[in-house]
Amino acid sequence: MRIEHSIALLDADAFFVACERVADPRLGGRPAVVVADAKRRSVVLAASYEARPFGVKTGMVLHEARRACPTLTVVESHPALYLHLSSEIEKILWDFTDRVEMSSVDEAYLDLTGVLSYFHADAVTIGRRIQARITQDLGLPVTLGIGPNKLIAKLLADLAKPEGVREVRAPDVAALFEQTPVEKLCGIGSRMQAALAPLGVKTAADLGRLPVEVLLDRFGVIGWTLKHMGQGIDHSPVRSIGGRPGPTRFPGRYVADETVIPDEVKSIGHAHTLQTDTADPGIVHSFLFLLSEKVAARLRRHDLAGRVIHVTIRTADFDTLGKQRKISIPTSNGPEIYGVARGILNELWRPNPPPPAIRLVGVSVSYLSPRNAQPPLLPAERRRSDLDDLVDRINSRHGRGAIRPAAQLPAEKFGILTPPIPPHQHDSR
Amino acid sequence: MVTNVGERVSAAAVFHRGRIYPKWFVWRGRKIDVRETNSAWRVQDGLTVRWYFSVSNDASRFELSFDSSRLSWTLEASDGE
Repeated sequence: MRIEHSIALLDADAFFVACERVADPRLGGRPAVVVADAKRRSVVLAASYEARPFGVKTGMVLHEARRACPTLTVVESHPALYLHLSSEIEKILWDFTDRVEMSSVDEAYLDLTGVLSYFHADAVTIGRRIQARITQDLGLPVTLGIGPNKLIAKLLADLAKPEGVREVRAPDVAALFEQTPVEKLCGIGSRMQAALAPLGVKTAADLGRLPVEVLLDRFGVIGWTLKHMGQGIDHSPVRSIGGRPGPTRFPGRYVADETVIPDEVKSIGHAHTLQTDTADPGIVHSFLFLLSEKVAARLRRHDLAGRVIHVTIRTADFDTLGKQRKISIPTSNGPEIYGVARGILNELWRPNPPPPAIRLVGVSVSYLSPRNAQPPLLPAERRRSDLDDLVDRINSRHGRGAIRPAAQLPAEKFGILTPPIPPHQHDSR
Repeated sequence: MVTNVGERVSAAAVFHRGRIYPKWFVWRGRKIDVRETNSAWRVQDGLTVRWYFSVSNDASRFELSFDSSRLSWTLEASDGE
């Protein structure tokens, strides 16, 4: 007999705003937004539910948001507070299951399959307990979507917001998909929606009914992924990275299916929205370098190296372009990642005719393997690896960014919305 | 309107069961009683651990930080005063 999975997505409602309300309860009930810097050009990082009826939303430029809602309260972000509360949420989640994947600072997937019998409760009851605990202990509102896989859980969390708990079991997914506009599925953006419309796809169920040959012909290899999405199929497991320290609370629990055993991180990446759009190659290259260094440092922290390097850019008119390249030997070295990333960038962003201004740059590395699976053979590679280790040791003792390549200084001078070191940590006294 | 301050202050706090509760601080010669600690978060940068506190009195909100290596308190930001 096949056990039905119970996967939940916990999504903190308007997380940054909610954190700011914990720090300043007077913000409660007001239309408010969080921005990186209220004095400079900033984009809205999060909008309260009270601000949304005015048309204020994430990604909007601040002056537009102020125009849309003249009574808007603008709060500058406290990234360290968000990370702290995110880790407090994670600690609570580990009390409910030993399969927790923090997919972002305000979202976590939980595999509840094996713990339902432990708690003698159904998934919705456990979801409500999690919600109550987070609200009571941290003062944060959260929503949970619960389904047979991550795709459905994500969809339901979006539909149940704010402060909802909603479950759909596998037999009821087909009926749900008949009512669900296709763009509500995670991964179907406005461009994909526009590309699907001529094929007669309006709902998620329409996508599932489309012959796979049609999707393969139109979209290439992702045709299969789209077909599965339309059928509500998602085999991706809940990946616990690191895991809770200490013994599990759930010894010997029943594991429903080997495929849900946590496995390795799939990719590691960083992206920055620039404070101002720029077409200056020096600045863009410097951001690319900074991101490559950050990705490399994170790879080394996880003892990983990767072979596929992916670059994403978003232009001022919101065109998003991406490309990747595979290298022969896995790397966790910043300059090496940058070398490949720069080649990719030059293909995506050609100087003639004059290139469009850039608003976002991202670098990620995938196809990961253990970092020292094969020790460096050449003396130059060994020196590079030793130097990376030394820099990591210095930075872990004296603070992240205490020693860093000068090539990233132009980016730092230009301004980083999410600084590599929280500004409060610079000690100028 | 929140204003960045970044000034050292004298402060009194209760350390209880691994938590820190600021009780009052003296800023520019004036003693300000803390009525409520709204939230606290911790930032580790290398070997330095710094605690941040969002606190309120009856009229205003303040952001205090405590540097555990220097044993020093800083008023990071304030609104209204």
